[in-house]
Amino acid sequence: MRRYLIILLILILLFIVQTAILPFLTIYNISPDILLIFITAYSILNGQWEGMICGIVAGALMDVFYSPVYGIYSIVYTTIGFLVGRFSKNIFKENSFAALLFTIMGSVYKGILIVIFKAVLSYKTDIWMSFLALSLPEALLNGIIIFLTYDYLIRLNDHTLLKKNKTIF
Amino acid sequence: MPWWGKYRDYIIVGAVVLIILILMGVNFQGVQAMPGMEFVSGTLIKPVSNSLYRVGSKVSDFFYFLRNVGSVRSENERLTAVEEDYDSLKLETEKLKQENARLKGLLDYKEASADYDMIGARVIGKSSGGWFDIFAIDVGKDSGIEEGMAVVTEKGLIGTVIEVHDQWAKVLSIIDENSSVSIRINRTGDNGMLHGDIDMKAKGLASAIYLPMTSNIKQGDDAITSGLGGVFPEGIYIGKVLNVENSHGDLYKTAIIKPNADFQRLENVLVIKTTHPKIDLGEVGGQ
Repeated sequence: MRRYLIILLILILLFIVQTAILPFLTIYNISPDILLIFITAYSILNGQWEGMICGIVAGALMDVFYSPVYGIYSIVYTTIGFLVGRFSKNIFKENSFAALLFTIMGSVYKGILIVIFKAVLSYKTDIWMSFLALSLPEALLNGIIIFLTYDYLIRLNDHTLLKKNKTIF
Repeated sequence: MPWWGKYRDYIIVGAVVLIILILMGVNFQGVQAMPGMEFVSGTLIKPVSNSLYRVGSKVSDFFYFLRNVGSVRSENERLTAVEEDYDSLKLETEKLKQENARLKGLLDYKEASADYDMIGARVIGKSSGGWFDIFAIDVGKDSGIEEGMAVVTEKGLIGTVIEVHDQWAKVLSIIDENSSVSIRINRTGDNGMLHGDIDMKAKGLASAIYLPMTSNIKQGDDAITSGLGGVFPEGIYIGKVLNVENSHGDLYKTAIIKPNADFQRLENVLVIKTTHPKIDLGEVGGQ
């Protein structure tokens, strides 16, 4: 129980950092998606179901505050959490390169889904520009960040405060 | 194992996605009705986000200052020169104002646009990554904010309120692709439509379309809101024309507008509480 409360707090903190601090650090509208990075790492280390629930919470936060309609980020993060956990079942979990690959694929997948949603919501959007100017740079940035921080994320996941136990605290 | 045993996981995740899609369909009311939503967003997240945004803003201001410290001297010289002009302009304005008031009195002219009723607000966060250009402000229904109100800074128009919660509101900025603002070029009086664009957004620009072919707008003209369509009040400053494109075979001119407000470093904003009543098309059309 304590584990999940702490994970929830970490998610809220990451969300606030992503939307209150990172907008000041963007160059040409490109900024890393640290929620996606955390969900990917968490899902690799803890499996598809925990990854999916992580995605539902992060998606709800993003949707309530910063999306034109409810549901876009929820669907993106939920499915990323699930699919990453699903396809990383048989890999060596401590490998940073695997995490890097999953993050890059996840970021590109996020770009594709958002462009599809924009098309459905009749946005006048330029598909190729979205991929070249937004999706690919963001994917690379996310990949670099998870490659550098993956070891710390593993250590965080195994921390004594985050031990799975049956008691409430 | 039954036939679906193999696909059980995918069926579960499919069901979750379906539930989210249903929530998307009922959208705003459904999400707002979720128990505790207002409490979590307004009371827990808003204050933390608000204070972290202040920190980010201060840090950003510091680096902005460092970057521009070299140009301070030339800026100072330029401003001193401007100030000399300003004094004479001020006198002239005063004279014209008095003359205007006297002439208006003679004509018994009624003031068309009264002063706007405005309320100050602070930005608490912004969507990062450039997919959407939405930000949240720290005033909501409790302060009398309603959907469709215009949000400005002292430099000009920045957006419109699209969603109101009890203690905060969501604002769509005018450089988002989904935003369209009816504008007028102040010098020529031509009407157009201001749209966001995905690669111009990165440079803080937007494009104005549907400008008439016959207009002679040029670089440096001022764009203001026209008040058509009843979303924004008339006469809010937007920015300057940067470039006019006149592609062959088009029916309209397209101009690139540089909004005066700095969308990267928003901090304090004003919400104009005066809304225009929507025109009832049924009545106007006589249907």
